[in-house]
Amino acid sequence: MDPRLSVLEKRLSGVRRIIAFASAKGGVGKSICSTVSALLLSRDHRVGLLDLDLQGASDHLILGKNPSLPEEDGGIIPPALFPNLSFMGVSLFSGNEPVPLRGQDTTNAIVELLSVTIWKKLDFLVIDMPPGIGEEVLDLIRFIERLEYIVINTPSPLSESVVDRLIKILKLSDARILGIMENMAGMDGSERNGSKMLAERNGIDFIGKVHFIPGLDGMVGNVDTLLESAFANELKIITERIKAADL
Amino acid sequence: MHELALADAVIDAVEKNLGGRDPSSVKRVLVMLGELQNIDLEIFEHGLKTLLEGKAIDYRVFSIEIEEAAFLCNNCGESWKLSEQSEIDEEEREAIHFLPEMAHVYMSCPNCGSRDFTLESGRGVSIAEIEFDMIPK
Repeated sequence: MDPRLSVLEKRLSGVRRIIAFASAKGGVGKSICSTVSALLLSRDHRVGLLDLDLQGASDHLILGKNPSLPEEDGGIIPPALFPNLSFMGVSLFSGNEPVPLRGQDTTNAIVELLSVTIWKKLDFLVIDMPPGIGEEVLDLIRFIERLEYIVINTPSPLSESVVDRLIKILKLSDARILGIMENMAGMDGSERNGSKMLAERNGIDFIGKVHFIPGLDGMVGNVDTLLESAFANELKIITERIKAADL
Repeated sequence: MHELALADAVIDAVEKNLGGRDPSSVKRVLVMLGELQNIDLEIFEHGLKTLLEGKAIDYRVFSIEIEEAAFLCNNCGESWKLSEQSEIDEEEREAIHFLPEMAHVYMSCPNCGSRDFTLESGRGVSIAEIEFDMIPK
């Protein structure tokens, strides 16, 4: 018997809302959208950021932080990287080394992180999900029923098709979907409305879009510049909708 | 010490698996501690004792055994034990203590050097057995 499973809800009992940024497609900007959203929310709320992209952890790079081992005090304490923003992720233990995990290892790592992390009282726990509909997504659906998903899409027919499959899995699992957001809007020079149509087709909300910002990669690691960017300004509209949402 | 969080999980799991029985009917709980996670036995036992204060489950029903860590390389088929693993430094050992899957970051197959291996036993904390008195005390 795995005793860790019995305390997952207890460990998250001080967290008011848990928001996961997910997309079945890679390269749609889950990490930057979730990390900057966590920063924006932390301006007036207590926020935790959990990087569950175990094999491609990058939130610490976006935040411009060098990971180091966290402290222990009755559990593992997520370091407060910014005022009102604490962080947990595999990068605290692996640094920038590769983390080659197979299926059961991935599940074990997620369960361990969820069962021994002692979050302080939080208004929001933002989770950065890896691409795909593999272990991480299936485990979270199983372990955290009250999780609210933001599904990220980009203006591309390929992304729309793959994201559509994630939505199907989430709906089949009765997961709560806050809505679809579009990242990199207008990147092909046109204003497609594929994400909006995808939302309508699936009977879920379209909660806004963030335009493609040339040079955004160059802002990675500099939180002040990121927060002053047009990217953050547009994302702020979405985070305000997240705050206002009540499923 | 995150041993306390793991001890808390063990107690919580036992309580959730009473199946309607009285907590005082728990006769024996066999807890396995995986060698890989290198849990401090003294702190873990102290955690159990402290967290059970005021509860009907007796601390003395807990038996703890260490489970040897064994690995199997997915690349070349080599099997090995933790004791045969080449030396890892203190910080790497600490990372594995926090999150045993970090073995895939800091350890490798002694034969071919691959990090693609399966941890066959001895990962972390598990409950092997819960025994109850037939007639509640």
